[in-house]
Amino acid sequence: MQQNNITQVYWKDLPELLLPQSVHNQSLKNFDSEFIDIVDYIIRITHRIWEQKNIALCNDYYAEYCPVHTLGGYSDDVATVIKNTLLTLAAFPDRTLIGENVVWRDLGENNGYYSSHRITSIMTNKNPSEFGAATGKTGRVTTIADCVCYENKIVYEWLMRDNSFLVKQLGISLIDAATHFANLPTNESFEEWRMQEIIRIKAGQTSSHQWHTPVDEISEKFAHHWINTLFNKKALGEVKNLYHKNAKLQWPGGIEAVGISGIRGVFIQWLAQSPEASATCDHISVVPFEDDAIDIAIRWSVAGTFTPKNELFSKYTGQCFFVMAATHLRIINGKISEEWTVFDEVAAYANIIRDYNNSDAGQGVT
Amino acid sequence: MLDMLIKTFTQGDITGYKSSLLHSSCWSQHNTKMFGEDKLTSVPLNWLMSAGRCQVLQSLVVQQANISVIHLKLKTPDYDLPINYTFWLHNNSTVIKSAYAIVDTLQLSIAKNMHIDETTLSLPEPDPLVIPDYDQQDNLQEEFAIPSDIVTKLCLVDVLLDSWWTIWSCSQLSIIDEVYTEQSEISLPGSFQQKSRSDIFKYVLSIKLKLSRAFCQLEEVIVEGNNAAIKWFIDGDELGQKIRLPFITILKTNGEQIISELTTCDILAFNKRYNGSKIFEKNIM
Repeated sequence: MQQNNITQVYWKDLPELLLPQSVHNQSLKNFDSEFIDIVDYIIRITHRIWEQKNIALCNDYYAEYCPVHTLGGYSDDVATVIKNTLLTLAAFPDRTLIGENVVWRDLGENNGYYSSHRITSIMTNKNPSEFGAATGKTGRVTTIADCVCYENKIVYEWLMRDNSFLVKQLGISLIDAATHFANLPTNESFEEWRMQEIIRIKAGQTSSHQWHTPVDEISEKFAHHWINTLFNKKALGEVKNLYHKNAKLQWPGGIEAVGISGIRGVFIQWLAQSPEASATCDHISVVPFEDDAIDIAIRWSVAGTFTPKNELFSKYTGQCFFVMAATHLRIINGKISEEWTVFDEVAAYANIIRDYNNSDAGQGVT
Repeated sequence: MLDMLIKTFTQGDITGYKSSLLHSSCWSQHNTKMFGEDKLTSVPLNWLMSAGRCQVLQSLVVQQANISVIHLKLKTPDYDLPINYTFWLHNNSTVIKSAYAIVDTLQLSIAKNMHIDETTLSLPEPDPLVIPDYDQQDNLQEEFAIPSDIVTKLCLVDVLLDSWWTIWSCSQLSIIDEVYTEQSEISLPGSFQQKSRSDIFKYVLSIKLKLSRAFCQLEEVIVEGNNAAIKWFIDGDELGQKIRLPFITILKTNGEQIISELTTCDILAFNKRYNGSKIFEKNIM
């Protein structure tokens, strides 16, 4: 297990997090000396960019070439990060980011740190956004941002946001939001990455982004077991061996379950929309939480064939189903007590709709 | 925490309230989870707007580790009927990380002589909630939580709590007379009258028979001495849709039997989420 004296955000208030009093807890090679550890770095740069609206700081804290993957797009230059940040703030001017947890991993002196940052955002939709016209409504959304941080900069990012929960609060239906999103221009690099990922996941191959620094062995096994048992083997009887009897689960779009039966139901219903899909475990980070718990952050992917349960999506049957997701698990006494899983359902369905529209089927050719 | 809540929710001490919160604190109430200073400040302000400067008729605290469950029985300035407000606080005795609160909004509406539609309209929009369908039967797997599975410390009342739970989880109505003393003081949602154990019998039936595939799930249980607090919900199918009905129950016991029960449920917030539900039709008419 990695060292225990790194900043834990849970009981700390923002002023304390913004003015850390302790000494350096990690080497942080070539990071600014003000940062005491990777958690401190993530919390403070997020606050400066988003809440203080210092968008220009993206130039300082993102590498000039920084691939950013979301389920809805791809960019690899800091200018696009700045543009997207600005567009989001224009659509949601009061966006507040509340750092819920940072699960991290030391990638070694030459690779920096991996951070999986779970955030709750509160925001009011005052101007048009990627989901359509302004609604004037306030929503909250969970995001997990997985970043590789090297020499004071984010050099790689995978960003997962629970947009289906957000659009429901804004009064927009999932299919309307996905259809709107599907009509926005996409780019070649994104489509190329998506196709490569789908091939990789279906072949059960590991992601190319692997590091060799150790992760707590028991937790690593647990994470792989969780993916393989539930998503690949569909051995859902095992839910009782993975979760506590009063475990809580939060999934995209407002899915909430407590207890073995409810949690099993979440997996059955979700997996049924692509029953033969494969999943890969793409990254694992592990940190201790308080005295008796362990937090595991897993980035994972699923690819298969779409067999929708919802009638509104029925014409998209047979399209490719692809999800890039992040899960934070809180483990107590060897079982999950709480789970937060985040992926962008709006983008996942938008990709399906776009594929359908671009295919012969979409043009009515059989 | 008790003093802070009383000052906040009866006098409007917003500064004291804010100093008990973190930037990352959340407050769940009326089926809405709120984050951020603006939303969290609105919680006591909306309460004070609805109820006015109330008097505390009774308070009760059950505490275990980082959880404080606080119940306030409040009386509005111009009316005599009491309103139950129960708080489930995850805190470190200085600050609250998360609060889950249930206001008996039906009591509030009646106590203030407000039409229930007016009270319902004043409640926030509920969060989107999706309850995926699941098998509510145990199928001999022993997978369902009972209080003694969840209570994290040795306690003398776990057998009694397990028995109490069978009333709801297994509809084991015949045990009611064993579990409650004859003089038990029972307070049920939406009602002002002191209830008896025979009322529990009717209450369980009145809810369960309006649902098919009803399933009771424990979320958290804490115990302090002979008293316990239980956070739980019922899932079920009603009129073709899956519903979730959350409760907080506080039990005072003599170690062998329940001497008082206080169960709170936000009936109007439930009805706002499940427009057309008939579960509380009789209470509201």
